[in-house]
Amino acid sequence: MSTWSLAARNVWRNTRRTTATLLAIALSCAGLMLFGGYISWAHLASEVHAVVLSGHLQIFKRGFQEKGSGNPAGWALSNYDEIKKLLVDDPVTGPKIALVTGLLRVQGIATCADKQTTATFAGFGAFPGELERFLRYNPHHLTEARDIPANKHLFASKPEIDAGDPDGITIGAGIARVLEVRADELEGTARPTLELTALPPAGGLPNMVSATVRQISIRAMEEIDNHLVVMPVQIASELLFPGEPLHVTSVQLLLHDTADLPAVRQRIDELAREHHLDIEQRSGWELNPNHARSLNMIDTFFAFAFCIVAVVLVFTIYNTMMMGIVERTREIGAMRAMGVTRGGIITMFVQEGIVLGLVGGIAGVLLGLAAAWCVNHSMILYTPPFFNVKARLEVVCFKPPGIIIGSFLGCFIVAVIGAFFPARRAGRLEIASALRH
Amino acid sequence: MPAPPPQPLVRVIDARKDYPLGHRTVHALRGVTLDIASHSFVVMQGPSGSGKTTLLNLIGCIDHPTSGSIIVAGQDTRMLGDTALSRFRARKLGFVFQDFNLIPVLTAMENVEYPLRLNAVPPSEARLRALAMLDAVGLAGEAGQRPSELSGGQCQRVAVARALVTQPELVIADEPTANLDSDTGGKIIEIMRAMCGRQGTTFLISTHDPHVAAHAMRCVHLRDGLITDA
Repeated sequence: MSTWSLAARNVWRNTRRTTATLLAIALSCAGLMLFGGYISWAHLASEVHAVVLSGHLQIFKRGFQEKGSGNPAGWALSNYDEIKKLLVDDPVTGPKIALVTGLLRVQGIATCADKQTTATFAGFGAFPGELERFLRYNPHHLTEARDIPANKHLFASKPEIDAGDPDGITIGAGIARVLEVRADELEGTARPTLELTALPPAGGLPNMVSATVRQISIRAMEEIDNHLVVMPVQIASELLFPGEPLHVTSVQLLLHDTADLPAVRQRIDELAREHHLDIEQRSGWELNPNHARSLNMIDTFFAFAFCIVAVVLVFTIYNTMMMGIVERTREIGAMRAMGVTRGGIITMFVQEGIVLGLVGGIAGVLLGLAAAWCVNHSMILYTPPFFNVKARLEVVCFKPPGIIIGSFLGCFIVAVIGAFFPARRAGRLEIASALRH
Repeated sequence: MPAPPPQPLVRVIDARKDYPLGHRTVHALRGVTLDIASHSFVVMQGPSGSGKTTLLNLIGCIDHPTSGSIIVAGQDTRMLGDTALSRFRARKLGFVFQDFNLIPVLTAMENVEYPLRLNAVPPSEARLRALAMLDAVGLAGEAGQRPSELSGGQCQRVAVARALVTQPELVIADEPTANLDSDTGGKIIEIMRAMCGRQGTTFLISTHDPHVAAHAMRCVHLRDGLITDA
């Protein structure tokens, strides 16, 4: 008969009270796991969305971020091929990079002559095929918004640009509405034609190119979709730099593993110094700061929820243990008389708290996993803040596994803390008065 | 030259115990001096409130005198801190309570084993000694029963076995037969008396029961916190 065996038996003396306490611990643990799993999902989804929008990393001409937004083409890089080759051939960055591509940002006016409609646009030219790699980035196998039936009609079914369709462009759902371009018009051979007008960076008269709308698609954020025009880089180049070699406003990188980002950034800085490249770099998170702000907010919610759960749990366990101590006062007195030290009494009750925390925590983890399975297998949809598409409610408990361990440990430690103070009180009982109780 | 008289197992020297009760003080013991020899079977009698339990608590090192000294087995108990006193009780003393105070989640065997575990006796040896002690009180067949499955008399026999299993020098029993019928109570006292003879353990028993007093080697009478007849 070990002290642990004694603690386990004592815990089950009052089955109803112990069951209620274990249920409180288990539900708290499961609740934390679900909330933590949702936050974990939000972090992963945020990473995915930042990379979809901006890649892991973008390289600009130095000063672009500060001054280039009004005239992006004026800050274009003319040495795209050199930078790409440098990054791909470098023994440090090369193996870590999945794809290097170039983007040429364009802003101007789009006119649909047939409909006599005009809208300002902010888009980019990209390399067909390479853009899709970014749009399909999903290393964590989360449910993609485009795969949710309720969203399917919003997303392009084909690639946004295609090398076999050199004058075909894709426009955002918002700008399509303004230009009165409808999805049903895109099916036939006579696709709507848009005249795209933009000022060349060197000044002078605006340039104009014609392109046909091959698709209407979205980037899931209204402020982007209202102005988005995605075109082959050749069209963008013709619009901004007619007759000149290829320019890009940014070199965009896709990494095999997000964890490599700091190392890649550091190496790019070194390469820039070594090769006298006048460049600056920004990560996808820096280019989309709202993602980090949203995550900070929900992390704060989680911390707040954890504090509430912890306080409630501490008081629940304190109450359970105190009731047990009041009921067992004479027994405590007898044990002390037999020679159990104050520390021995404290240890005995703390062990009971540990047993409660362990059993409740394990039950909570199992309950949480079952609840997570149910949530992940039911199609619960909602619209996240800042987005204009439905997202599926998902909880990710295993990435990282810290969610499970953290929820379990959180409840376990809270249970032990809840048991410690009554245990200390039990240890301080005077033997003679305890025996008279 | 004659040999010096043997040192008493218990020496109580002018022990006083006061309890605050609201704005006044209750003088539970008013200066008790008492020696108890080893291997004796001493019964303490007196009306309720005479200070029997208080004196037993002081001798059992579970309470401290307001003044005076308590020396048990040559140890002045005032010199020991709380943890040292606990260890001292575990080694030297055994207790039998009126309400048995067995640990309800443990079996009879485990209850008897418990004090041995406190004295760090190896589990296999503890088990053998507990079984032997249960056998000595006639409960070897009930070793696996929990207190709730035993009668009052059986519980008290388990309590006696628990008090004796460490072979303490002194067993303190506070009204051990008060919750038992006279037959059962008589048997419990006979067991204690037999153990006193067999193990040489000193027993100090408080009781109202004249039948218990009949077994005593010595009776100590208390009244109003003072010994009136020792």
